[in-house]
Amino acid sequence: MNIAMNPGMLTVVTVMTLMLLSFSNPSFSASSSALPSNEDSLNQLQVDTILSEIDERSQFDTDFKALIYLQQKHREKGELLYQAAVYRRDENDRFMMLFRKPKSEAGKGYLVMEKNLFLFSPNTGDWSRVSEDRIAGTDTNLNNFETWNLVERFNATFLSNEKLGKFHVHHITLESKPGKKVDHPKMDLWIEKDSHHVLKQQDFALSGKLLRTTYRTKWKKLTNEKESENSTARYIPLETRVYNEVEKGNQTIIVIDQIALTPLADNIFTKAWLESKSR
Amino acid sequence: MKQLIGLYFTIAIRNLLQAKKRSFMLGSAIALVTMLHVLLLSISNGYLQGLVDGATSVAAGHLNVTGLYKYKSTTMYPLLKDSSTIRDLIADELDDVTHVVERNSIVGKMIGEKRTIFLFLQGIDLTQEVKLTEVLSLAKESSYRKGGRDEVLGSFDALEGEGTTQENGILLFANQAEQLGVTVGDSISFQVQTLSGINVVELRVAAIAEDVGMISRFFTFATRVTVQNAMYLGDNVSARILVYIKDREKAPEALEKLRQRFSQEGFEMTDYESSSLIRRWTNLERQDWIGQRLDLTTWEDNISEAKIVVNSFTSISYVLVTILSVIIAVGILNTCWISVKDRTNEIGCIRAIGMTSSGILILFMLEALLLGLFWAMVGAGTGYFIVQLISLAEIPITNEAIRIVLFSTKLTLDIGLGDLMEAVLFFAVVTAISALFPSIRAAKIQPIQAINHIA
Repeated sequence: MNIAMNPGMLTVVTVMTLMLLSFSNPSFSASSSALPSNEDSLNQLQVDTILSEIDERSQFDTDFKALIYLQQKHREKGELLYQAAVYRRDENDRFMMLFRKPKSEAGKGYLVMEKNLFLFSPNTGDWSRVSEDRIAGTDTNLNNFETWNLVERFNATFLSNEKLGKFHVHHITLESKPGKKVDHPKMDLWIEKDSHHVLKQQDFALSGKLLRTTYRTKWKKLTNEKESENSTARYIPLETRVYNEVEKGNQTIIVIDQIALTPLADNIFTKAWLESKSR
Repeated sequence: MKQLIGLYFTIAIRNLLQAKKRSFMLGSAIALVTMLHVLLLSISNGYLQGLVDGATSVAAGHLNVTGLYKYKSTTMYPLLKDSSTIRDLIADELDDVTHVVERNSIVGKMIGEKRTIFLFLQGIDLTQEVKLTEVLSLAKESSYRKGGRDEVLGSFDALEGEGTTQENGILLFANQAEQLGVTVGDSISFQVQTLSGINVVELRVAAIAEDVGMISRFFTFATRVTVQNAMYLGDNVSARILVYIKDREKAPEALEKLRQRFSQEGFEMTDYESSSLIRRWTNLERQDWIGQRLDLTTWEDNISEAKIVVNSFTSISYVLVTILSVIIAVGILNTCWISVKDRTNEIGCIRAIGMTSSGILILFMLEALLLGLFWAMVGAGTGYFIVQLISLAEIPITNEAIRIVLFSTKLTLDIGLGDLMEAVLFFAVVTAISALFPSIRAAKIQPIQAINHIA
């Protein structure tokens, strides 16, 4: 199947895939078990190195463009499917998300400017600053689409080596650094030992209550013509599942497709561009 | 002179009684329009009264001093530091303060078993909230839960806690409890954005109050300590100071005094606008400043948007009553015209025995005035009686759209003696003015014309 040349068919296939995925369990279930104590624990330097690697691998040297599908299961609204185009330029923290489907959401867009997230509503033509914690009313937040920046924002501590389904993982806990503004002050990560992919993430409130659990099931290595063989490989999760642990029953699946690392026009990351597309 | 006036009154009353059918038909129309006017006025009065009562007890004071805090230029929180200093300045500057209430205020997600709703959680100190406990009454469980007991559960005191069992108590309104699917004693999660990130606290439903209009769809109450803990705030940090003064109509003057005093004391303030803070929030958040600013509003500013509904309703009422008044005026004019024609010979006779033309004018005008006065009184009295009956019946409003428009869950009507007197006078004068042209015509009739008319 030629995905790139058949977007209509791709949409149908993606929707069907999302539907199928939503009725199946993640490949590694929510349960995880600590490995025997003879497993080597990580020292602080190793933990910090892994986090730096995760940060670096999520940051692109080039512009980034992709099509994303958000399937939301909402306990009050039922099932909703969104399609949006995402544009990133990590070298100066630029981010743009333009919704295409459903029709009622088409033209709506998010833009990051000076580390603030703004939402454009085409119906009213207004821009408003919004919380980064909830994209399009789903359980996803801006961190699901941007770089990690873990080292800058968090202090990490190794907890244990565990088995997550069939994967061997490091369980690391992170707490926000003093003075750093983060939505979730505490976070636990389950990082695959060999690949250092973050397979599971749990975000906690200030009170310690679990807010959401995220699974990243499929990772893709991205290659860029410019990069040399020695440069760090970049990775992106092709599929992410977010479970709201407070509003039980709410969950969101993110599927990323049609990734391109080609240069983007400068005017894409402006309010004017989004407004013109919304028309 | 007295005798003459008495004579005019006697003739006018006799004339009205003589034309019983005509007087009754015209009078009924006047009474009906007066009654309609009174009923419409009572609806807008009741709406406004409920709005003001709700606004000045549940949501705001006569004067409101809110702290707005920005840690970066685009993110604003309702936080008031050094509130005790500000309270001292208020006490020093204003001498007609009856009481002062301090509240914390946050907006967040209340997450129930069934649904999630956004609410403004107000952190209160029950010992200060004199008006709030007067206005609110606790609801029977059956009013917010299917199959619920026909009794009131919980209490206001439970909000403050009994030992450790009622920590983090919350007071919900009946509509909120119904939406969230909770009853007294249940736990509920509240998610809020703090300065240090997202927080979720477990709250226990301590009491459920009857709805008090639109405001009860957005506001909910807990103790100040509960809100401070949820937001990770210190003891001396609140959000708003609500000031109650003896005469609420003097709130704009008091606001000006406070603004001058705060300015002298070096407090930064937002520009004053006669609009609620909620409406101005986005604009204020966009402004380029960091730190704390004080925002001052009066009770009228807080209901300015809602008052548009009252004004619109009042305008529609006046248009309706004006149209009906014009129809009546035309009817009166026509009837008087016929009356003048019918009584031409009578007019000729009384002119012949010495009554002046101005006397005739006064006589006809007096007839119309008495007719209008009597029947307007009947209409106003009937309207007042109906208003009292409806108020006693406490008719619930089941239609959601009407509830939203009227800001109330039951039909609330209110009419004062002044309103009744105004209505009576207005319709009496309208009747008299309507009769002016035929009366002038009658006054101009000469005795000789009357004789010719008879012939």
